[in-house]
Amino acid sequence: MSRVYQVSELTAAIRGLLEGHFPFVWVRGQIFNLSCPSSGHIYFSLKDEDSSLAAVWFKGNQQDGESFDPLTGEVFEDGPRPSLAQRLREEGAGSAGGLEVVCAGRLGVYPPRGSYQLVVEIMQEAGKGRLQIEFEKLKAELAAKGYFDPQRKRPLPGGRGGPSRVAVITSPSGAAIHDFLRIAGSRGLSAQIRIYPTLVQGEGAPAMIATALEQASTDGWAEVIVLIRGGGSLEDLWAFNSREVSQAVFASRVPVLSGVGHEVDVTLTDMVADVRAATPSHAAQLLWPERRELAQRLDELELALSGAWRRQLLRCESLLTGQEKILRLLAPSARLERHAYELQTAEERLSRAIRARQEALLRGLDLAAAAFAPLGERLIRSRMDVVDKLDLRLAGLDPHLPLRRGYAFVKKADGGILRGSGGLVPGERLDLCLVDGQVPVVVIERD
Amino acid sequence: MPKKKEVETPTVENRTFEEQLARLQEIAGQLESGDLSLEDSLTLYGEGARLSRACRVRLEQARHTVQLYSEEGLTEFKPLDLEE
Repeated sequence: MSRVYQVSELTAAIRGLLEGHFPFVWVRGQIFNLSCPSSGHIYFSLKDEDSSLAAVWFKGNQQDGESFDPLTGEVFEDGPRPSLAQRLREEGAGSAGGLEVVCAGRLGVYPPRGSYQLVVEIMQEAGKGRLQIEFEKLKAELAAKGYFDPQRKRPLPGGRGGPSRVAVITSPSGAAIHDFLRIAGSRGLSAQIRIYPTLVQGEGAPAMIATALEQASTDGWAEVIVLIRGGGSLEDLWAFNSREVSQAVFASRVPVLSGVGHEVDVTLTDMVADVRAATPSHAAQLLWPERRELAQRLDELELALSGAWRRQLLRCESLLTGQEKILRLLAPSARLERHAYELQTAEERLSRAIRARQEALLRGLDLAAAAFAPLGERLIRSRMDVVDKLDLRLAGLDPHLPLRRGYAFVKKADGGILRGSGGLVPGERLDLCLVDGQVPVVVIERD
Repeated sequence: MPKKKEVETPTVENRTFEEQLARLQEIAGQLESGDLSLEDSLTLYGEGARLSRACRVRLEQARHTVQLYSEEGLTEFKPLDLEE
Protein backbone atom coordinates (compact mmCIF):
# COMPACT_ATOMS: atom_id res chain seq x y z
CA MET A 1 0.00 0.00 0.00
CA SER A 2 1.80 3.10 -1.19
CA ARG A 3 -0.58 5.79 0.09
CA VAL A 4 -3.92 6.43 1.68
CA TYR A 5 -6.38 8.36 -0.53
CA GLN A 6 -9.12 10.66 0.57
CA VAL A 7 -12.39 9.45 -0.92
CA SER A 8 -12.75 12.55 -3.08
CA GLU A 9 -9.14 12.27 -4.24
CA LEU A 10 -9.65 8.71 -5.39
CA THR A 11 -12.95 9.59 -7.01
CA ALA A 12 -11.31 12.47 -8.86
CA ALA A 13 -8.52 10.17 -10.05
CA ILE A 14 -11.00 7.56 -11.23
CA ARG A 15 -13.02 10.26 -12.93
CA GLY A 16 -9.95 11.55 -14.75
CA LEU A 17 -9.06 8.04 -15.91
CA LEU A 18 -12.55 7.06 -16.96
CA GLU A 19 -13.54 10.28 -18.70
CA GLY A 20 -10.15 10.57 -20.35
CA HIS A 21 -10.21 7.02 -21.61
CA PHE A 22 -13.83 6.96 -22.86
CA PRO A 23 -14.50 10.50 -24.08
CA PHE A 24 -17.19 9.27 -26.41
CA VAL A 25 -18.74 5.81 -26.75
CA TRP A 26 -21.47 3.96 -28.50
CA VAL A 27 -23.31 1.44 -26.30
CA ARG A 28 -26.00 -1.05 -27.16
CA GLY A 29 -28.38 -2.42 -24.53
CA GLN A 30 -31.93 -2.75 -23.25
CA ILE A 31 -33.68 0.00 -21.30
CA PHE A 32 -34.56 -0.85 -17.68
CA ASN A 33 -35.56 1.13 -14.62
CA LEU A 34 -36.85 3.97 -16.80
CA SER A 35 -37.78 7.09 -14.88
CA CYS A 36 -39.02 10.34 -16.40
CA PRO A 37 -39.42 13.02 -13.68
CA SER A 38 -40.93 16.41 -14.39
CA SER A 39 -37.50 17.97 -14.83
CA GLY A 40 -37.55 16.46 -18.33
CA HIS A 41 -34.34 14.48 -17.79
CA ILE A 42 -34.66 10.76 -18.46
CA TYR A 43 -32.95 8.26 -16.16
CA PHE A 44 -32.60 4.57 -16.94
CA SER A 45 -30.20 1.62 -17.02
CA LEU A 46 -28.85 -0.12 -20.06
CA LYS A 47 -28.65 -3.87 -19.61
CA ASP A 48 -27.55 -6.95 -21.41
CA GLU A 49 -27.41 -10.54 -20.13
CA ASP A 50 -24.63 -9.96 -17.62
CA SER A 51 -24.25 -6.27 -16.90
CA SER A 52 -26.03 -3.04 -16.35
CA LEU A 53 -24.97 0.58 -16.93
CA ALA A 54 -26.61 3.63 -15.35
CA ALA A 55 -27.53 6.26 -17.91
CA VAL A 56 -28.99 9.73 -18.00
CA TRP A 57 -30.42 11.62 -20.96
CA PHE A 58 -30.52 15.29 -20.03
CA LYS A 59 -33.28 17.41 -21.39
CA GLY A 60 -30.85 19.64 -23.25
CA ASN A 61 -29.62 16.69 -25.30
CA GLN A 62 -33.08 15.48 -26.30
CA GLN A 63 -34.75 16.48 -29.55
CA ASP A 64 -38.45 16.87 -29.87
CA GLY A 65 -38.47 15.71 -33.41
CA GLU A 66 -35.92 15.15 -36.15
CA SER A 67 -36.56 16.87 -39.45
CA PHE A 68 -33.17 15.96 -40.95
CA ASP A 69 -30.60 13.28 -40.65
CA PRO A 70 -28.04 14.63 -38.16
CA LEU A 71 -25.30 12.61 -39.83
CA THR A 72 -25.74 13.59 -43.46
CA GLY A 73 -27.91 16.67 -43.14
CA GLU A 74 -30.42 14.98 -45.44
CA VAL A 75 -33.91 16.36 -44.86
CA PHE A 76 -36.60 13.76 -44.25
CA GLU A 77 -39.10 14.07 -47.10
CA ASP A 78 -41.93 12.65 -45.03
CA GLY A 79 -41.68 15.36 -42.35
CA PRO A 80 -40.17 15.36 -38.88
CA ARG A 81 -39.87 12.03 -37.15
CA PRO A 82 -40.82 11.80 -33.49
CA SER A 83 -37.78 11.48 -31.31
CA LEU A 84 -37.20 8.56 -29.03
CA ALA A 85 -37.21 10.89 -26.00
CA GLN A 86 -40.81 11.82 -26.73
CA ARG A 87 -41.78 8.17 -27.06
CA LEU A 88 -40.04 7.22 -23.79
CA ARG A 89 -41.80 9.98 -21.92
CA GLU A 90 -45.18 9.18 -23.40
CA GLU A 91 -45.13 5.42 -23.24
CA GLY A 92 -43.31 5.26 -19.88
CA ALA A 93 -41.81 2.21 -18.31
CA GLY A 94 -44.70 0.07 -19.42
CA SER A 95 -43.96 -0.42 -23.07
CA ALA A 96 -40.53 1.19 -23.37
CA GLY A 97 -39.00 -1.08 -20.73
CA GLY A 98 -36.87 -3.68 -22.43
CA LEU A 99 -36.56 -1.62 -25.59
CA GLU A 100 -33.24 -2.30 -27.27
CA VAL A 101 -31.36 0.91 -28.12
CA VAL A 102 -28.02 2.21 -29.20
CA CYS A 103 -26.81 5.21 -27.22
CA ALA A 104 -23.98 7.61 -28.02
CA GLY A 105 -22.45 9.75 -25.31
CA ARG A 106 -19.74 10.24 -22.75
CA LEU A 107 -18.97 8.29 -19.62
CA GLY A 108 -19.11 10.40 -16.48
CA VAL A 109 -18.48 9.82 -12.80
CA TYR A 110 -21.11 11.02 -10.34
CA PRO A 111 -19.00 11.71 -7.22
CA PRO A 112 -21.81 11.94 -4.57
CA ARG A 113 -22.73 8.33 -5.20
CA GLY A 114 -19.37 7.11 -6.37
CA SER A 115 -21.04 5.72 -9.46
CA TYR A 116 -20.34 6.10 -13.10
CA GLN A 117 -22.97 6.67 -15.72
CA LEU A 118 -23.44 7.18 -19.41
CA VAL A 119 -24.43 10.75 -20.30
CA VAL A 120 -26.48 10.11 -23.42
CA GLU A 121 -26.43 12.55 -26.30
CA ILE A 122 -28.03 10.51 -29.01
CA MET A 123 -30.31 7.50 -28.73
CA GLN A 124 -31.73 5.35 -31.42
CA GLU A 125 -33.60 2.12 -31.52
CA ALA A 126 -31.13 -0.65 -31.99
CA GLY A 127 -33.23 -2.04 -34.76
CA LYS A 128 -32.21 0.92 -36.84
CA GLY A 129 -28.88 2.03 -35.31
CA ARG A 130 -29.04 4.50 -38.15
CA LEU A 131 -26.74 7.21 -36.88
CA GLN A 132 -24.03 4.86 -35.73
CA ILE A 133 -24.20 2.72 -38.82
CA GLU A 134 -24.10 5.77 -41.10
CA PHE A 135 -21.19 7.26 -39.20
CA GLU A 136 -19.18 4.05 -39.28
CA LYS A 137 -20.07 3.46 -42.93
CA LEU A 138 -19.01 6.93 -43.99
CA LYS A 139 -15.86 6.69 -41.91
CA ALA A 140 -14.96 3.38 -43.53
CA GLU A 141 -15.71 4.74 -46.98
CA LEU A 142 -13.62 7.88 -46.49
CA ALA A 143 -10.81 5.81 -45.01
CA ALA A 144 -10.89 3.53 -48.06
CA LYS A 145 -10.69 6.58 -50.32
CA GLY A 146 -7.58 7.68 -48.46
CA TYR A 147 -9.17 10.73 -46.86
CA PHE A 148 -7.37 10.11 -43.59
CA ASP A 149 -3.97 9.15 -45.01
CA PRO A 150 -1.17 10.71 -42.99
CA GLN A 151 0.90 11.07 -46.19
CA ARG A 152 -1.48 13.64 -47.66
CA LYS A 153 -1.41 15.87 -44.58
CA ARG A 154 0.19 19.21 -45.37
CA PRO A 155 2.06 21.23 -42.76
CA LEU A 156 0.83 24.64 -41.61
CA PRO A 157 2.39 27.46 -43.65
CA GLY A 158 4.20 30.59 -42.59
CA GLY A 159 7.39 29.55 -40.82
CA ARG A 160 8.47 31.23 -37.63
CA GLY A 161 6.20 34.26 -37.80
CA GLY A 162 3.11 32.27 -38.80
CA PRO A 163 0.91 32.71 -41.89
CA SER A 164 -0.08 36.20 -43.03
CA ARG A 165 -3.27 35.36 -44.97
CA VAL A 166 -5.77 33.22 -43.11
CA ALA A 167 -9.33 32.28 -44.11
CA VAL A 168 -11.59 31.40 -41.20
CA ILE A 169 -14.78 29.46 -41.86
CA THR A 170 -17.15 29.74 -38.95
CA SER A 171 -20.19 31.52 -37.59
CA PRO A 172 -19.40 35.26 -37.33
CA SER A 173 -21.44 35.48 -34.13
CA GLY A 174 -20.25 32.33 -32.39
CA ALA A 175 -17.93 31.84 -29.44
CA ALA A 176 -15.44 30.13 -31.74
CA ILE A 177 -14.42 33.24 -33.73
CA HIS A 178 -14.34 35.23 -30.51
CA ASP A 179 -11.96 32.78 -28.83
CA PHE A 180 -9.89 32.47 -31.99
CA LEU A 181 -9.41 36.25 -32.43
CA ARG A 182 -8.72 36.79 -28.73
CA ILE A 183 -5.89 34.27 -28.77
CA ALA A 184 -4.66 35.46 -32.18
CA GLY A 185 -4.46 39.05 -30.86
CA SER A 186 -1.20 38.48 -29.00
CA ARG A 187 0.35 36.16 -31.53
CA GLY A 188 2.10 36.35 -34.89
CA LEU A 189 2.77 39.49 -36.91
CA SER A 190 0.34 41.61 -38.92
CA ALA A 191 -1.77 38.92 -40.56
CA GLN A 192 -4.90 39.39 -42.60
CA ILE A 193 -7.79 37.28 -41.40
CA ARG A 194 -10.76 36.82 -43.70
CA ILE A 195 -13.91 35.38 -42.16
CA TYR A 196 -16.16 33.32 -44.44
CA PRO A 197 -19.44 33.36 -42.50
CA THR A 198 -21.48 30.20 -42.37
CA LEU A 199 -23.98 28.31 -40.28
CA VAL A 200 -22.23 25.70 -38.18
CA GLN A 201 -25.22 23.65 -37.09
CA GLY A 202 -28.67 22.84 -38.33
CA GLU A 203 -30.11 21.78 -41.65
CA GLY A 204 -28.23 23.97 -44.06
CA ALA A 205 -24.93 23.88 -42.23
CA PRO A 206 -23.11 21.09 -44.11
CA ALA A 207 -23.84 22.61 -47.53
CA MET A 208 -22.90 26.11 -46.41
CA ILE A 209 -19.68 24.98 -44.80
CA ALA A 210 -18.75 23.03 -47.93
CA THR A 211 -19.48 26.06 -50.14
CA ALA A 212 -17.39 28.35 -47.94
CA LEU A 213 -14.53 25.84 -48.09
CA GLU A 214 -14.69 25.71 -51.88
CA GLN A 215 -14.84 29.50 -52.06
CA ALA A 216 -11.82 30.00 -49.80
CA SER A 217 -9.91 27.28 -51.65
CA THR A 218 -10.62 28.62 -55.16
CA ASP A 219 -10.03 32.25 -54.15
CA GLY A 220 -6.39 31.27 -53.86
CA TRP A 221 -5.83 34.15 -51.47
CA ALA A 222 -5.46 32.31 -48.20
CA GLU A 223 -2.36 30.37 -47.15
CA VAL A 224 -4.41 28.28 -44.78
CA ILE A 225 -8.11 27.64 -44.11
CA VAL A 226 -9.26 27.45 -40.51
CA LEU A 227 -12.52 25.61 -39.86
CA ILE A 228 -13.74 26.20 -36.32
CA ARG A 229 -16.80 25.72 -34.18
CA GLY A 230 -17.31 26.02 -30.44
CA GLY A 231 -18.29 23.17 -28.15
CA GLY A 232 -21.74 21.67 -28.23
CA SER A 233 -23.62 18.45 -28.06
CA LEU A 234 -22.85 15.63 -30.44
CA GLU A 235 -25.91 16.69 -32.46
CA ASP A 236 -24.63 20.27 -32.67
CA LEU A 237 -21.33 19.09 -34.11
CA TRP A 238 -22.95 16.67 -36.53
CA ALA A 239 -22.46 18.89 -39.58
CA PHE A 240 -18.75 18.17 -39.20
CA ASN A 241 -19.46 14.47 -39.60
CA SER A 242 -21.17 15.03 -42.92
CA ARG A 243 -20.00 13.76 -46.27
CA GLU A 244 -20.25 17.20 -47.87
CA VAL A 245 -17.92 18.90 -45.41
CA SER A 246 -15.49 15.96 -45.37
CA GLN A 247 -15.30 16.06 -49.18
CA ALA A 248 -14.80 19.83 -49.27
CA VAL A 249 -11.99 19.58 -46.73
CA PHE A 250 -10.42 16.78 -48.73
CA ALA A 251 -10.64 18.78 -51.97
CA SER A 252 -9.18 21.99 -50.55
CA ARG A 253 -6.09 23.20 -52.38
CA VAL A 254 -5.01 25.00 -49.24
CA PRO A 255 -4.09 23.24 -45.99
CA VAL A 256 -7.08 23.01 -43.66
CA LEU A 257 -6.77 23.42 -39.89
CA SER A 258 -9.84 22.21 -38.02
CA GLY A 259 -10.82 23.01 -34.47
CA VAL A 260 -14.26 21.67 -33.70
CA GLY A 261 -15.88 21.50 -30.26
CA HIS A 262 -13.96 20.51 -27.18
CA GLU A 263 -10.82 18.44 -26.89
CA VAL A 264 -12.69 15.15 -26.68
CA ASP A 265 -14.74 15.74 -29.82
CA VAL A 266 -13.24 14.16 -32.89
CA THR A 267 -15.33 14.52 -36.03
CA LEU A 268 -14.78 13.14 -39.51
CA THR A 269 -13.79 16.68 -40.54
CA ASP A 270 -11.03 16.63 -37.94
CA MET A 271 -9.78 13.35 -39.35
CA VAL A 272 -9.72 14.64 -42.93
CA ALA A 273 -8.17 18.02 -42.08
CA ASP A 274 -4.44 18.50 -42.57
CA VAL A 275 -3.98 19.54 -38.98
CA ARG A 276 -6.41 19.07 -36.10
CA ALA A 277 -6.63 21.58 -33.27
CA ALA A 278 -8.44 20.56 -30.10
CA THR A 279 -10.40 23.82 -29.88
CA PRO A 280 -10.73 27.14 -31.77
CA SER A 281 -8.30 28.77 -29.31
CA HIS A 282 -5.86 25.97 -29.90
CA ALA A 283 -6.14 26.58 -33.65
CA ALA A 284 -4.89 30.15 -33.15
CA GLN A 285 -2.06 28.83 -31.00
CA LEU A 286 -1.03 26.36 -33.67
CA LEU A 287 -1.01 29.02 -36.39
CA TRP A 288 1.06 31.75 -34.78
CA PRO A 289 3.78 31.88 -32.15
CA GLU A 290 3.34 34.30 -29.28
CA ARG A 291 4.54 37.79 -30.12
CA ARG A 292 6.47 37.81 -26.83
CA GLU A 293 8.34 34.75 -28.04
CA LEU A 294 9.24 36.47 -31.31
CA ALA A 295 10.42 39.52 -29.35
CA GLN A 296 12.58 37.29 -27.19
CA ARG A 297 14.04 35.63 -30.27
CA LEU A 298 14.81 39.07 -31.67
CA ASP A 299 16.43 40.11 -28.37
CA GLU A 300 18.64 37.06 -28.50
CA LEU A 301 19.69 37.77 -32.07
CA GLU A 302 20.42 41.42 -31.22
CA LEU A 303 22.60 40.32 -28.33
CA ALA A 304 24.39 37.83 -30.57
CA LEU A 305 24.94 40.56 -33.15
CA SER A 306 26.36 43.14 -30.73
CA GLY A 307 28.43 40.47 -28.99
CA ALA A 308 29.86 39.29 -32.31
CA TRP A 309 30.62 42.88 -33.31
CA ARG A 310 32.38 43.61 -30.00
CA ARG A 311 34.46 40.46 -30.29
CA GLN A 312 35.33 41.28 -33.88
CA LEU A 313 36.55 44.73 -32.77
CA LEU A 314 38.65 43.14 -30.02
CA ARG A 315 40.11 40.72 -32.54
CA CYS A 316 41.05 43.58 -34.87
CA GLU A 317 42.56 45.51 -31.97
CA SER A 318 44.72 42.64 -30.78
CA LEU A 319 45.79 42.02 -34.36
CA LEU A 320 46.92 45.65 -34.56
CA THR A 321 48.82 45.49 -31.26
CA GLY A 322 50.53 42.33 -32.46
CA GLN A 323 51.63 43.98 -35.70
CA GLU A 324 52.91 47.01 -33.83
CA LYS A 325 54.99 44.78 -31.63
CA ILE A 326 56.51 43.04 -34.64
CA LEU A 327 57.22 46.38 -36.30
CA ARG A 328 58.97 47.67 -33.23
CA LEU A 329 61.15 44.57 -33.12
CA LEU A 330 62.14 45.03 -36.75
CA ALA A 331 63.18 48.74 -36.46
CA PRO A 332 67.02 49.34 -37.06
CA SER A 333 67.58 51.24 -33.81
CA ALA A 334 65.91 48.42 -31.95
CA ARG A 335 68.19 46.04 -33.76
CA LEU A 336 71.33 47.95 -32.69
CA GLU A 337 70.08 48.08 -29.16
CA ARG A 338 69.39 44.44 -29.25
CA HIS A 339 72.86 43.64 -30.63
CA ALA A 340 74.52 45.87 -28.02
CA TYR A 341 72.65 44.15 -25.37
CA GLU A 342 73.54 40.75 -26.78
CA LEU A 343 77.20 41.78 -26.92
CA GLN A 344 77.17 42.96 -23.36
CA THR A 345 75.63 39.80 -22.11
CA ALA A 346 78.10 37.74 -24.13
CA GLU A 347 80.99 39.60 -22.59
CA GLU A 348 79.62 39.16 -19.18
CA ARG A 349 79.16 35.52 -19.77
CA LEU A 350 82.69 35.18 -21.08
CA SER A 351 84.35 36.88 -18.10
CA ARG A 352 82.16 34.94 -15.76
CA ALA A 353 83.28 31.76 -17.46
CA ILE A 354 86.95 32.67 -17.27
CA ARG A 355 86.70 33.59 -13.64
CA ALA A 356 84.96 30.41 -12.88
CA ARG A 357 87.64 28.41 -14.68
CA GLN A 358 90.46 30.11 -12.78
CA GLU A 359 88.80 29.49 -9.53
CA ALA A 360 88.31 25.88 -10.39
CA LEU A 361 92.02 25.46 -11.24
CA LEU A 362 93.17 27.14 -8.05
CA ARG A 363 90.85 25.04 -6.05
CA GLY A 364 92.32 21.94 -7.72
CA LEU A 365 95.86 23.07 -6.93
CA ASP A 366 95.08 23.72 -3.31
CA LEU A 367 93.56 20.34 -3.02
CA ALA A 368 96.62 18.71 -4.57
CA ALA A 369 98.96 20.63 -2.27
CA ALA A 370 96.94 19.70 0.74
CA ALA A 371 97.13 16.10 -0.33
CA PHE A 372 100.91 16.29 -0.93
CA ALA A 373 102.07 17.97 2.32
CA PRO A 374 101.62 15.10 4.78
CA LEU A 375 103.05 12.71 2.22
CA GLY A 376 106.40 14.64 2.08
CA GLU A 377 106.68 14.87 5.83
CA ARG A 378 106.17 11.17 6.24
CA LEU A 379 108.83 10.44 3.64
CA ILE A 380 111.37 12.67 5.34
CA ARG A 381 110.67 11.21 8.75
CA SER A 382 111.12 7.64 7.55
CA ARG A 383 114.46 8.55 5.90
CA MET A 384 115.68 10.21 9.05
CA ASP A 385 114.79 7.09 11.00
CA VAL A 386 117.03 5.10 8.73
CA VAL A 387 119.88 7.55 9.21
CA ASP A 388 119.44 7.42 12.99
CA LYS A 389 119.59 3.65 12.98
CA LEU A 390 122.70 3.65 10.80
CA ASP A 391 124.23 6.18 13.15
CA LEU A 392 123.67 3.91 16.11
CA ARG A 393 125.10 0.95 14.29
CA LEU A 394 128.06 3.05 13.18
CA ALA A 395 128.63 4.24 16.74
CA GLY A 396 128.76 0.59 17.91
CA LEU A 397 131.48 -0.11 15.40
CA ASP A 398 133.79 2.76 16.55
CA PRO A 399 137.18 1.06 17.44
CA HIS A 400 138.00 3.63 20.04
CA LEU A 401 134.95 2.88 22.20
CA PRO A 402 136.38 -0.27 23.92
CA LEU A 403 139.52 1.76 24.83
CA ARG A 404 137.38 3.71 27.32
CA ARG A 405 136.61 0.48 29.08
CA GLY A 406 140.34 -0.28 29.47
CA TYR A 407 141.08 -2.14 26.26
CA ALA A 408 144.13 -1.26 24.13
CA PHE A 409 145.31 -2.15 20.66
CA VAL A 410 148.74 -2.40 19.14
CA LYS A 411 149.78 -0.78 15.94
CA LYS A 412 152.68 -2.07 13.91
CA ALA A 413 155.39 0.19 12.62
CA ASP A 414 153.77 0.27 9.26
CA GLY A 415 150.59 1.61 10.86
CA GLY A 416 148.65 -1.68 10.60
CA ILE A 417 146.89 -3.17 13.56
CA LEU A 418 148.55 -6.13 15.27
CA ARG A 419 146.13 -9.04 15.17
CA GLY A 420 148.32 -11.87 16.53
CA SER A 421 151.77 -12.71 17.82
CA GLY A 422 152.90 -14.54 14.74
CA GLY A 423 155.65 -12.81 12.85
CA LEU A 424 156.79 -10.78 15.79
CA VAL A 425 160.48 -10.66 16.33
CA PRO A 426 162.31 -9.50 19.46
CA GLY A 427 163.40 -5.93 19.33
CA GLU A 428 160.55 -4.98 17.07
CA ARG A 429 159.08 -1.62 17.84
CA LEU A 430 155.37 -1.27 18.28
CA ASP A 431 152.95 1.39 19.45
CA LEU A 432 150.50 0.61 22.25
CA CYS A 433 147.38 2.66 21.75
CA LEU A 434 145.49 3.59 24.97
CA VAL A 435 142.46 5.73 25.34
CA ASP A 436 144.40 8.84 26.05
CA GLY A 437 147.44 8.29 23.76
CA GLN A 438 150.17 6.04 22.37
CA VAL A 439 153.01 4.47 24.24
CA PRO A 440 156.00 3.04 22.25
CA VAL A 441 156.88 -0.50 23.26
CA VAL A 442 159.60 -3.03 22.26
CA VAL A 443 159.14 -6.75 21.84
CA ILE A 444 161.62 -8.37 24.27
CA GLU A 445 161.07 -11.97 23.56
CA ARG A 446 158.78 -14.55 22.10
CA ASP A 447 157.40 -17.74 23.60
CA MET B 1 31.71 38.24 -55.20
CA PRO B 2 29.77 41.30 -56.43
CA LYS B 3 26.96 38.92 -57.37
CA LYS B 4 26.70 37.82 -53.76
CA LYS B 5 26.44 41.45 -52.68
CA GLU B 6 23.42 41.85 -54.92
CA VAL B 7 21.68 38.96 -53.26
CA GLU B 8 22.43 40.30 -49.83
CA THR B 9 21.13 43.81 -50.27
CA PRO B 10 17.50 43.69 -51.37
CA THR B 11 15.60 46.27 -49.39
CA VAL B 12 15.27 45.19 -45.81
CA GLU B 13 11.53 45.74 -45.80
CA ASN B 14 10.87 43.36 -48.68
CA ARG B 15 11.64 40.27 -46.68
CA THR B 16 9.39 38.28 -44.45
CA PHE B 17 9.99 38.46 -40.74
CA GLU B 18 11.30 34.92 -40.91
CA GLU B 19 13.83 35.85 -43.59
CA GLN B 20 14.89 38.90 -41.63
CA LEU B 21 15.55 36.83 -38.52
CA ALA B 22 17.45 34.25 -40.56
CA ARG B 23 19.59 36.98 -42.15
CA LEU B 24 20.23 38.49 -38.72
CA GLN B 25 21.44 35.14 -37.46
CA GLU B 26 23.61 34.69 -40.53
CA ILE B 27 25.20 38.13 -40.01
CA ALA B 28 25.95 37.39 -36.36
CA GLY B 29 27.53 34.09 -37.42
CA GLN B 30 29.70 35.76 -40.09
CA LEU B 31 30.89 38.41 -37.65
CA GLU B 32 31.64 35.74 -35.09
CA SER B 33 33.74 33.73 -37.56
CA GLY B 34 36.34 36.52 -37.49
CA ASP B 35 37.34 35.97 -41.12
CA LEU B 36 36.18 39.40 -42.21
CA SER B 37 38.07 42.64 -42.64
CA LEU B 38 37.14 45.48 -40.34
CA GLU B 39 35.41 47.30 -43.18
CA ASP B 40 33.30 44.33 -44.19
CA SER B 41 32.42 43.74 -40.57
CA LEU B 42 31.29 47.33 -40.22
CA THR B 43 29.07 47.04 -43.31
CA LEU B 44 27.61 43.79 -42.03
CA TYR B 45 27.01 45.18 -38.57
CA GLY B 46 25.22 48.17 -40.10
CA GLU B 47 22.95 45.85 -42.05
CA GLY B 48 22.27 43.80 -38.94
CA ALA B 49 21.42 46.86 -36.88
CA ARG B 50 19.01 48.09 -39.59
CA LEU B 51 17.41 44.65 -39.80
CA SER B 52 16.91 44.33 -36.08
CA ARG B 53 15.35 47.81 -35.92
CA ALA B 54 12.99 46.91 -38.73
CA CYS B 55 12.01 43.67 -36.98
CA ARG B 56 11.41 45.51 -33.71
CA VAL B 57 9.13 48.04 -35.41
CA ARG B 58 7.32 45.25 -37.17
CA LEU B 59 6.68 43.44 -33.88
CA GLU B 60 5.57 46.55 -32.08
CA GLN B 61 3.16 47.54 -34.80
CA ALA B 62 1.81 44.06 -35.43
CA ARG B 63 -2.00 44.03 -35.66
CA HIS B 64 -4.19 41.54 -37.45
CA THR B 65 -6.74 42.98 -39.82
CA VAL B 66 -10.00 41.07 -39.74
CA GLN B 67 -12.47 41.24 -42.61
CA LEU B 68 -15.78 39.60 -43.30
CA TYR B 69 -16.19 37.97 -46.69
CA SER B 70 -19.40 38.16 -48.64
CA GLU B 71 -20.54 37.93 -52.25
CA GLU B 72 -20.60 41.73 -52.37
CA GLY B 73 -17.05 42.06 -51.15
CA LEU B 74 -15.04 42.46 -48.00
CA THR B 75 -16.23 44.50 -45.06
CA GLU B 76 -14.51 45.26 -41.81
CA PHE B 77 -15.33 42.71 -39.17
CA LYS B 78 -16.38 44.37 -35.94
CA PRO B 79 -15.84 42.32 -32.81
CA LEU B 80 -19.09 43.96 -31.63
CA ASP B 81 -20.81 41.47 -33.89
CA LEU B 82 -20.09 38.96 -31.17
CA GLU B 83 -22.38 40.64 -28.71
CA GLU B 84 -25.44 40.25 -30.91
